[in-house]
Order: sequence, then C-alpha cells, then structure tokens
Amino acid sequence: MTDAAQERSIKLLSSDNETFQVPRNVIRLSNTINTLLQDLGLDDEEDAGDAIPVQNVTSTILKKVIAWCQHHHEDPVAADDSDSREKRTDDISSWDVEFLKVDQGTLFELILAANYLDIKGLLDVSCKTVANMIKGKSPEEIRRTFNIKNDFTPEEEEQIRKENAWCED
Amino acid sequence: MIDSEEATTSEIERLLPNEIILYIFSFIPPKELVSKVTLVCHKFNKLLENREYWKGKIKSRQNVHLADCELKHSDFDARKSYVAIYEQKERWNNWENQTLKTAFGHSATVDSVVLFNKNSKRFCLSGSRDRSIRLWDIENIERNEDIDGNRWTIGINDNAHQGWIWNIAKDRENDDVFYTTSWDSTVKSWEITESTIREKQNVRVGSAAQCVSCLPETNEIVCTTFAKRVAVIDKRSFAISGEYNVHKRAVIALAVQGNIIYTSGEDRLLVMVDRRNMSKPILLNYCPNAYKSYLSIHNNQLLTATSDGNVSIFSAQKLSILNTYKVGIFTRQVIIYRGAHLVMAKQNRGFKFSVHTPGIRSSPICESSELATEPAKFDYLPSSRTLAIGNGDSSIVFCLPRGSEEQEEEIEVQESQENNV
Amino acid sequence: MGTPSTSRKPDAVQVWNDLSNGLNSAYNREHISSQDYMQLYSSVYNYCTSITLGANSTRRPETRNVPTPGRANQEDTSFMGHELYQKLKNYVTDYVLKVRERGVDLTGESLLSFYTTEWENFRFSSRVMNGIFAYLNRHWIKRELDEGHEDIYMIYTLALMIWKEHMFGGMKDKVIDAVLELIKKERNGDIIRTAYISGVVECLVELGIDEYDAAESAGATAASAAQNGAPRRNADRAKLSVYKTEFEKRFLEATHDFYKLESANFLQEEGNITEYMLKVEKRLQEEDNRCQLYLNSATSAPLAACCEEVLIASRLEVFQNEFGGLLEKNRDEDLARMFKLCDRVANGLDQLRIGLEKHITKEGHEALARIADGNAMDPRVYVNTLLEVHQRYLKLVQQAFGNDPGFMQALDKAATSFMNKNEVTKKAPASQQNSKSAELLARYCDQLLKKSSKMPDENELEELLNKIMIIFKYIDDKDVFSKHYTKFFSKRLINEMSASDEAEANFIQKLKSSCGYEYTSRLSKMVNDTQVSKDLASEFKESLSGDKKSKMGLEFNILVLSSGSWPQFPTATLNLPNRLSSSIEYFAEFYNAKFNGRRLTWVYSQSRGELTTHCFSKKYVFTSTTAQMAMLLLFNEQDSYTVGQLIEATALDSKSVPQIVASLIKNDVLKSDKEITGEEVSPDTVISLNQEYSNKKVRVDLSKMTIKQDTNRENEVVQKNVEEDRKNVISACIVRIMKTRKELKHQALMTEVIQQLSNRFKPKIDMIKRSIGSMIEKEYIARSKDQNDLYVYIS
Repeated sequence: MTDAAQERSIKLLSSDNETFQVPRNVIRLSNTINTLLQDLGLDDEEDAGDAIPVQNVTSTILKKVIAWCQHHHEDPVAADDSDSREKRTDDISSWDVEFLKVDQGTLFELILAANYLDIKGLLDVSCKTVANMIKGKSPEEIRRTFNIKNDFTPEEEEQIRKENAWCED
Repeated sequence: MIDSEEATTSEIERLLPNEIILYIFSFIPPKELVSKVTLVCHKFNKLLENREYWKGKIKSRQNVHLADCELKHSDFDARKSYVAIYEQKERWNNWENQTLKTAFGHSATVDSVVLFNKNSKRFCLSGSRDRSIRLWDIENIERNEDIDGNRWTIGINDNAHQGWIWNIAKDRENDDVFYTTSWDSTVKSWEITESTIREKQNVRVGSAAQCVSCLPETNEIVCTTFAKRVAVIDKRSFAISGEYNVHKRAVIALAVQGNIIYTSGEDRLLVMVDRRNMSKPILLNYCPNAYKSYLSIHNNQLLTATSDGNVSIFSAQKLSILNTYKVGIFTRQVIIYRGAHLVMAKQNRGFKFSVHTPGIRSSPICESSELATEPAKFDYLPSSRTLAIGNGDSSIVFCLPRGSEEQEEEIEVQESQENNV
Repeated sequence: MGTPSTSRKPDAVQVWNDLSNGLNSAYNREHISSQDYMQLYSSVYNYCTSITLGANSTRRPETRNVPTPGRANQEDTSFMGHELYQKLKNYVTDYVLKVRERGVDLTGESLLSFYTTEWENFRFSSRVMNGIFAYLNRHWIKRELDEGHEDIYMIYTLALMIWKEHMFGGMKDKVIDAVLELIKKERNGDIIRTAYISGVVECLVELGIDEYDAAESAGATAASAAQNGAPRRNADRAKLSVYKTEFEKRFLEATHDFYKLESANFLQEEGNITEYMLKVEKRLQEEDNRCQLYLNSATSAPLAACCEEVLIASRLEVFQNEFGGLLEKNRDEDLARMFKLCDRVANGLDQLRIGLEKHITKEGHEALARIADGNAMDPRVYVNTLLEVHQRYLKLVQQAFGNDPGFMQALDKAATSFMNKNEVTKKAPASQQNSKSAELLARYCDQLLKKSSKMPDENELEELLNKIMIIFKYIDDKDVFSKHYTKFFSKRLINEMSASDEAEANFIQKLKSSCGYEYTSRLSKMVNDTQVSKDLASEFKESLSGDKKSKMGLEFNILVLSSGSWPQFPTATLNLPNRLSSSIEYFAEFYNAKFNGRRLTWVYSQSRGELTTHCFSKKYVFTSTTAQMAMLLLFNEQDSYTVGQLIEATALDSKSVPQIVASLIKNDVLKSDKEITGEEVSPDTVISLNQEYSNKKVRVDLSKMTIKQDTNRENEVVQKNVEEDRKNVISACIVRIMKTRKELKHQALMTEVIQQLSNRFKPKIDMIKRSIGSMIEKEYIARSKDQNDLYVYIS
C-alpha cells in the first residue's frame, strides 16, 4: 500500500493488535470511521492520533478490507442510493470477482467486516457474491453449498412446499 | 431432527446476522426465495415468512402503496403481493422483448378470449362475431406452423350461437365447463370433451346478453343484458333464479366478489347489489362525465375502465374512489391482478396496451407500441405469463414472454433429477 | 479466525450499563477517545447482531408461523431492537427533563444563555450518540420505517423530537419572550448578544427539519421524492414550520406593535416629514440587516412587508399631504426619498401621482400667467416658458421618480392641460383660443428656420427643434399647427428665406415620425415643387435662343407650385409692362410645350423683383413686389400720374392701388400732392416720383411695407379653413369606422372617432354630432329602426 505523503493517514488497530496505516481518503469509504472522526473532531487535527481499535475484525480480514478500499477509493459515488434501484448481481467487476475468490468463511468475515465498518460497496459486492451462490439452485444444492443441515421433517417440508407452490393470481 | 450444537451449524447461519441474510436475499428474485430458499432450513423459512417485512418492501422497494381495503381483505398476503408485483414488473419490463404470435381462424371480430391451463398445458377459448367458439392449443402455436400434426385450433363449435358471442366465463369448479353470452339473447353452458365443444344447456334472457360471471358462493352465474336487466341463473336448472332492473340503459360491464355483484351501464351508473337481497342495491355511484366500460375486481378493489380515457380504482365496500389515472381518450378494458393493472385504451390514433403498478398511486410499468389492429378484448394468465388479445380483424394475438420455453424445461429437468435423489 | 463475540450471548443488562455510561460521558461533554467510541459502537453492534446468531434462536419454532400484524411479532431481533430503542428513548428523555429542571426558573437573558448553551451541547452529544448507535439506525430502525411504523425515528431525529417535546415545549414561551425582549432592546439602541438569538433560531430551524425527515423516511422513498418536485417544496416549507409558528409569527407581531408606536410618537412630536422619511429608511435597512445577521432568510420578505405596512402604508395620508409642500419647495431629494418609500407599498404612489399632476398644471398656468401680461404673443417667450416648466418636471420625474410611467403620465396630462389652454391663449380672440398655442408654436418654428441675424448653429438648432417636438406632442390641435406651419413654410420657400434646407427637411422628418406620412405629405410636396422649379428654371434658361434672351433682358426666376399642396394665394389681375410680360409669355410657351394639359396661373401677389434705379442721385437697387414694380416702371414713361390713371394702367382694383401707392409713399419713393390718410385716396390725387429720394443703404426692400401683417385676419382665415377641414376629416372618419364595424352604438362611435383623431385634434362633441347628422342625410349611415342609439352602415 503506497503511502501518500501529503495525505493524512489514520491508524487502525485490528482485534489481534496489529496496526495498519490507512490514508484518510481511502478509509473514508467506511462510514463508521468517518463518523467517528467527524463526531470526535479528529478530522481537524494534524496528526493521526491514537490508533482506532477495530475490535470486531482480525488483521487478516482488515488487511483485505483495506486493500479493497484502496482499489476502490476513487470510485464515483452512486447518486441514487435508494432501495428501489434495481438490484442486479451480474455487474461485479472482474477485480472484485478475483478479490472474492476466497473460502466461504473468509467471505462471510468480509461481509461482517463491511457491515461493521459500514462500507456499502464492499457489503454489496460480497452479498451479491453469496446471492449468486444461492441463485438457480435447488434447496438441497443450497444446503450443500453452505453446509446447512436440513432441519425439516418430511411433513414440514411437504407442507411448506404445498403452501408456497407457485400459484399466480 | 434437532442437532445438538454449534459445531454442526453452518457458518452462514452462525456468522451472519439476520439483517445481512435478508440483505443477501434482496438480490435474489422473490419467486425463487419463496419456492426454493424457504425449503433450505427453518431459519431461512422463518425469515422469509414475516409478512410485515414483505409489506414494508412493497412500499420501499417497489414503491407501491396498497389500498387499506385490500390490506384488510382476508385473501391479502403481503408476500404473495410482493412476488406478484415483482413478477409483473419483470414480465412487462419491455414490450419489444416478447414473442408475438398471431393466430388466424375466426372470420370476424373475436370479442372474447379466455386463457387457462389444464394438466400443465396452456389453452385459450375464444368467442367471435362469426358465432363460433374455438379452443386453441398454445403450445402448438408456439412451436410451429398451423399444419397437420400441429393444429392450432384443437376444438371448434361453428354454430355455437345465432348471434355475436360477446363474453365467455369459465366455471370455477369444473375445469371443462364454461359459459357464453350472445347477442342472440341466450346464455349457454358448454363442456369441453376429448373431441368437441358440446352445448349443455341454454336459457333466454330477453335481450342481447352482454357479460357473464360466476357467483362462486351460490352455484349460480350472473349475466347482464342490453335491455337493462341483470339476471342470475341457476347452474343446474339453468333457469333465471333472480334479477334486478336498476339500470336505465344497456348493462355493459360486470364484476363479482363473493355475493356482491357490481354492474355498470351506459346510463353512467355503477350499481352494487347483494345476491341475497336483490330488491335494493347496496350502493349506487353516478358519474356524469363518463360511463364505465369495464369492471374488474380483486381483493376489495374495483378497477374500472371509463369512457373518458381514465382508469379509476374504487373501494369495493364503499364505492369510494381511491385513485384515478389517465390512459388515453377511451378505456376499453382493465383487469386487476395482485401484481398489476392491465389496461387497453384508445389513444389519439390507435390502441395501446399498458401495465401499471397496483395500489392507489399507480405508476406505469410498460406501454405497448400502437397496436397494428383494433383490439376487442384481452385476457392474461399470470401463471403462464401469456397475454391474448382478440382483435377486430378476426385474429388473436398471443404475447408470450421470450425464452419462457427454455426456462420451463430447465426447471422440469432439475425437478426430475431431484426426485431421483 | 472467527469473531470473538459470536458465541457469547450478550447480557442485556451489562450491555445497557456500558452504553449508558458511555452516553453519560457524551452528554457531559467529557472527552471520548476513539477507543471508547469504538467500544460503545461495538457494544451496540454485537448486541444487535448476536441476537440472531447462535444455535438456539430460530432453530425450532414453537408454533407454525402465523403472520401477525403489528409490532409484537415472533422475531427476537425486532423485540430486542425495540427494547434498546426504548431504553435509549428513556435515557434521552430523562436527560432532557433534568436539563429542563435546571432551567425552569430562568428568564430573560440568563434563560437564553442557558438554553443556547444546553442546545449546543445537546446537539453535539446527540450526534455522537447517533454515531454510536449507527448500527441500530442502519438496520432495525430502517426496517421499522419501511414497515410503516411511524413513531420510530432515526436516533438523531429521536433526540430532536424529545428535545422538542420536553424541553422546547415547556420553555418555548419564555424563550421566545426573552428573544423578543432582546430584539426590542436592540431596536431601542442597546447592544445585545446576537448569538443568543441566532442560536435559538438555528434550534428552531433544526427542530423543523427533523420533523420533516421523519415523515419523509416513513413514507415515500428518496426515488419518488426525486421524481416529483412537490415533496421537495413541501420539504422546504415543512422545515421552517416550527420556526414560523413559534417564532416568526410572534416576531412579526412584536415588530408591528413596536413600529406602530414609534411612528405615532414621532409624527406627533416632531412631525417633520423629511426627518420621518430618513428615520423610516434607516429602520428598514436596520431590519433587513437584522434578518440577514441572525434570523432566517425566509423572514426577510414578511418582515419588510410588515415594516412597510406599519411605517409607510398606514401613514400614506401624511405622505400625501406633505408631497405638495415638497413640490412647492423643490425639495428634490426628499421627493426622491418619498417616492422610494411609497413605491414599496401597494398603491402607495397613486395619490402622489395625482398630486404631481395638479402641481405641474398649476405651475404651468402660473408661469404663463406671468408672461401673459408682457409680450405674451412673442412666440419665443411663450415656447420657452412652456419648455422651462416641462423640462423642470421632466428632470424631476426622471431623477427623483425613477422614470416611473405613472409619474410620466401625470406630467403628460399636466402638460397637455397647461400647454393648450392658459392665460396666454385666453388673450386671443374667442374663436382662436383653442388653437392659439398651435399657432404660437408654428410661429416660433418659423422664427427659428428663417434667415436671421443671429442664427443658431447646427447642434443648437437640432436641440431646439427637438424641444419643439416635445411641445408639439402635447398640442391638441395639431391640424392647426399644420396649417400655420404650412403657411409660414410656403412664405419661406417662396421668398427663399430658409436658413438651411437641411434643417427644414430635418424638421419635416421629425413631424413625419410623430404624426405619420399623411401629416407631412403636403410639406414634402412643397419642397419637391421647389426642387423641380429650380430644374425647370435652368432648363428654361437654356432653352432660350439668343434673341429671345436679349429681348427679355432681365433675370427671370420661376417657381411652379402644384395647386393642391400650397396655401391659397390671392390672385389678382395685373397689367404687366412689356418687359415683364414677354418673359411670362416665353415661359408659358416653354412650359406648355413641356407639359400638356396643365394650366398655369400667375400669382403676382407672391412674386417680387429687383429694380435698379438710375433716376436718383445714387444708384439704388429696390426689392419690390411685382405690383409695386409694375407701378414704378410706369414712372419710366411719365413723372406723375393720377391715381385713376394708375388704376387704369395697372388694371389693379381700386383698393389695391391706393395700398401700393401708400406703401411706396411710406417708403419715400413716391410722393403725393395730398395727405394720404389710411387707405382712402381719391382717384384724382397726383402721384409723382420723389426725386429727392435718398437712403443710406443701397439695397432697399420696399415689399415689406405692402402687406399689412394682419395677423388677426390671417388667423381667422386659417381658423375657418381648419374648421372646414375638420368637418371633412370627421365625416371621413365616421364613414371609415362604420364601414368596418357595420353597426355601432352612438356612444361607441363617439369614442372611436375621438380616439382615431386624437393624433390630430380634439374634436368637439357638437361637431361630431353634426357630422353624424350630415352623414345620415347623405345616406352613408342610418339609424337602426329597432334601437334608437344604434347606427347602421349603408353599403
């Protein structure tokens, strides 16, 4: 990660006590960190100050998160942030696809980190990835993909199937 | 089976909080969620069961504001509505993105079309001014030309009536039975058999019969006529078992919800009558500007097509207007579904078919280009996503969603595979 | 790998303890380190997420899921989120109530100090709290809003709602009182801490915004709000609703009362309008500044309106009364100020305009009355007086009244009034009074355009002519002006007295621009005739063959006038001496050869010539009329004649001869044996050449004496012509109107006629009526049989 000399940098401390220096304009992708800096008036100060503890995220994951932010920090901000925008899953950039080729555990950790740090772009792209792992599969396939135990009795399963059988009207 | 501990809980269930799981689900088409994801495990099922959640999404994701009267209807289900709205938006996202097939056969205006499925096959019944009824096989129409071995018309009754056949309604219980009205002043019941369309019974109603509908709760059907009479006919005896004569001119539109009959006439009256007490209408609505040319009802919402080019949605219980929007200079027909309003209206130069979101703040989803030929009536079947338009030039146009065939096949294959496991 | 808090099910009590300690720090404005902050944030996060994780929560449902409406549903999340939200709400409410306790007894400035400080603190702390509980905002609260639960708000909004309800609600009267008190102090000249007021104002505005936000997020989505502009406008209005209801309304009332009292006192004690206006101006500026500085800009318009209402509109009478006085005293600066002030209120200027009109009219009349005694009939003096008054008030309207059209109109009306009928015109004989102004103006033009000893240079002349046009605009009887001007113009042309051809053409152009082509067509033709004549004359001269020329033996110039364009001249017979008559003959031959079918009539009355005398001691050159010349040439034959012989010889009538003789005698050229008094000369009086004639000058103009400037008679003639012409014009106009309209009511016809002719003259009602009558007689129009006052066109 390059160290832009002129930019301020913020220190983050992972849950396992590793420190990371992040340029201010990269970490701005995290709303949580942003709000903290603004609310506590730390944005006006010259030096980076103490490290901000990110206690829910390990160093491995934090490193990846920072890498993602670094790659995306110049992305244009989406104008319409509203819910009613169409939600596509086929628009993940190839860089992100590669970035997210990780084991499920890591993928979920990334989701949690993005959720914790409120990084919308990362949250979206990682959730879409999981969604793509669900789409088009039968229930059994979905279970297999995620190692989910089938906790339905056959009767329960049948009942749900009947109730939800697609009847259009 | 109840497992003991977290060692066997999947990561996805163990790590991700519900809100995140729901966020992931928001990227998956709702139909899939309901038909597949609910079957994965209890947790997922429970998340997707919550009707409040779906209700919230109808407003926030789909920007649809449902009427109170619909929300209070016993048949209302927020999840079903959400899925229906989503599906309709998908279906109608682009008029050009369809397969249009024109079926010829009739020799005069096709005034009535009814789509239905039987045994997973798709059919259409049509009635025309050429006095005949035809039964169409839609798969044949999709597949190939109208040649031997692939006939499009698989059933026909050439002399079904002595006059124009105005309306067809299928019986709600018996799949093979349907009813027709005609300007020869009769209402007839029919049966579809292996080889024919056979007339069962008929009754004279005094003047040109216009619309017909089933009264589900009393084993009767109701029909409206040109000479102001609305007649209720017993299904078994096929005799007139009740009537009212409130209208002052031809009664041209009809809708039924439970025991309540709604009719509208050229006299600009909209009349609401309870079958069990036909002597006195419950409510009347008079509109001086226009008459209602078509009525359609669903979950307490009465959708009306008006002769001045509007679509108005009424509360079915109070007959109060909930919303009105303009669609042209004359609205020929509207049908209301859980997921959308379908409209056929005349513009300045030709006719256009349009689709609007449901609720009381409808917004347009799709509008067709000007139709090549003047339409008479249309019908839409959500389960097959097929639209059939009966036209003045005796043709029927079938609008089929593109690529629908392949999808259907895929799913069938998967299901059969699963069953093997 | 694995998040630390996954398996630990949080102890709700513990969590809340931690959080409330953190909140205490926040609300006490204690320093919160980023560690503390993240700790708190994580608490919230873990608490919210851990509910739904783990083995036991949703594994085995107790009952089949029945969708239940409302909030009490099976979801643990929802329940926990709700509990946290409620605890938070209670915490903030407690805090706010405690704050209120501390301030319950305060009033005035100490209250404001307290309130603004506490508000700032509260805002800041609530922001921090909002950040700490961000996770709740993001998921649970958002979902509640989606599902339509309208009494759940985003955390920061919740805080503001609580403040509004418990703190502001309880204290608002006292707070607003204190604010208004401060403002009053400032108005009375004290210095105040404006930060108190701006603090309260900002608080009010923010309380309004968040009320709106809450409604917004519960209802339509951002997308729909972006689609139609309406919600956005509602947003602006809603934002300020608290500000407007709680503060602005009372503020405007207080302002109203304050200034009502102040202006009443002022006017009672001092009463000086200049001082008052200065004070009003100052106050208006002050209030505007006040608004910019520490109130919300939305108030500036209603505030200005309120002040204007109280300080100006309700005092309009005072202004109106003083206006006349200011005009009298020519207090231009004050007038300008009054204009600006009264312009701000509706209908403020109406009475002032009327006042101005009255004043100018009076001034105009007085100015003319002053000169009426003296040389009233001197056109230059007259016109200059008119101009003076006009210019003075034109400047006033332009400078002090900002060229306001209403004031311009007042000036125009006044000008029209005093320029047409005034003390000077009254001195004219009755029949000419209406047109006197027009006549004097025409005379002035003549003065300017005639050759004279003191000629203004080109630019000066242009300026003067423009000024004349200004006056011309106001003259009612423009057709009279036209007649007079034509008369003077023809004299100038014939006698070659124009100072500058360019200036003449220029002025005609100005008249044309003002009145149209028709008005100046005759003048143009006259100029044309002059041009053509020049060409003809040179052509004629060239065409003369040698001997004719010598036979003529004199310089001969001709002016051919087309009879329709020029004024009528008296024609008289005259016996020309041979030397003169041959020229006439030759020219007549030439002309008739050139133009077929035209008839030449010789107008000797306007002709003149030059004689060189060899009979006196000195050689003189006399300029004389043709008649005079004819007579004098007779004396080449004889030394003396009787009047009777003169009559015979010249073939002039018995009236003219004595006139001419008398004029020549006056000039000392001739003498008679009897006294000549007046015009009576007996035929046997002997007239002879005065051999002793002498004159200092060599060139003498005899013609000036002949034609008695009987202006009065002339004017009467013009007037009569004008009357005749007007009748014709009116009749033509009536017919034209009726032809277009086919039928018209009497009153409408009158109005239409007056309006169409307004550019030429003001027709008298009687005249119009008579013309209508004559048109009916001549069967151009008829009275309708059914309606008495309806006329119908007969085609």
